[in-house]
Amino acid sequence: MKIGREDAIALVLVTLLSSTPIAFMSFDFMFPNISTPSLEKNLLAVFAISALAGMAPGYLLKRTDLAMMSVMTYTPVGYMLAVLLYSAPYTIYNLDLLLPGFYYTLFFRFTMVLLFLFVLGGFVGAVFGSLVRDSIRREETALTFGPKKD
Amino acid sequence: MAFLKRVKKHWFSSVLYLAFSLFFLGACFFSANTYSAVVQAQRDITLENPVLDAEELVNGSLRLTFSIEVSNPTRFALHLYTSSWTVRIVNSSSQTEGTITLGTMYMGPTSFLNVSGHEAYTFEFESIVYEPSTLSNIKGFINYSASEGDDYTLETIPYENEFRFIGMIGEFQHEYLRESYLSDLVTIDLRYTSSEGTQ
Repeated sequence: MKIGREDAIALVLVTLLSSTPIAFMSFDFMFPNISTPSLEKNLLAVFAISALAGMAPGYLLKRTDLAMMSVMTYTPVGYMLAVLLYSAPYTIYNLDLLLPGFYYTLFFRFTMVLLFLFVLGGFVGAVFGSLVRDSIRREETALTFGPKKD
Repeated sequence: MAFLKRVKKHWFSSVLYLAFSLFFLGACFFSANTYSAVVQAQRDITLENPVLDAEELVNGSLRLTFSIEVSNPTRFALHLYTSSWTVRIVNSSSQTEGTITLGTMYMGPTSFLNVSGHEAYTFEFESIVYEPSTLSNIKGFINYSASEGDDYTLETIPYENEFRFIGMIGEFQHEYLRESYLSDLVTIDLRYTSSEGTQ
């Protein structure tokens, strides 16, 4: 799989934009009572939003393989962002962290399974986005070069 | 650049995508801010100014009053879950009765007491000890202490005082049975004992 400069820039942009829903869903899954708006640990909603996050790269990127690869880049970036949000009170406000090892273990334990949903939803979304893109392109081609009716 | 051209061509989808991303970015920052504020509230909500007063009434009864302030400097309201107060004398010399309980008070979740944000609420309790048996126990304690070299009166006895306050921060849902860490996150558990102070 060859990635050119254009592809790399597109990949970075898509990674940044699609990582935010992943970050929010991970954080929300940990603290559904204080996050706004909350998905209340609804896995179907998590899957649907993951598919939406994957659909945009699938639609906007020319190559489907690149779109699927973007799922593998934005998911860890989003997850890392969620870890940063999770540790915000202790890094920004300098509060004392009790049992630091356990604190992060709790987060990974609760949200690790979500990663599979993010990736699966992302792949489904990327493929669906590509299909929509191709379908629109075929329609445009047919309209432009199709047989003219008098 | 080919990608930017593509974005321009599909401007509507691109704007939707950007809005989708920004919405979740905003939600991330808002939620992390709330989380930080809740964690900070755990540290900032405190018990202050505990005062116990004992007074002997003209009819020989003992009147005990206790006040303590729950200070809530946070932006969240604090909802009472339970609070309890106990005052007693610890009589370590007694073979049969180690403590003489002089007053207890309990407030449960049905009391609907709220402490608004940036405010303080003062709890005030009162107990009047009038039973002759309890009063004679206290006098026995005073007499025994005098024989050991400690001169106490009803007003100066070292009363053991305990106060506990459990409250819920804000309007966050907390009735999670399986995931108790969610309840713990928004629960305040404050204690005061006359021997150890506030905790």
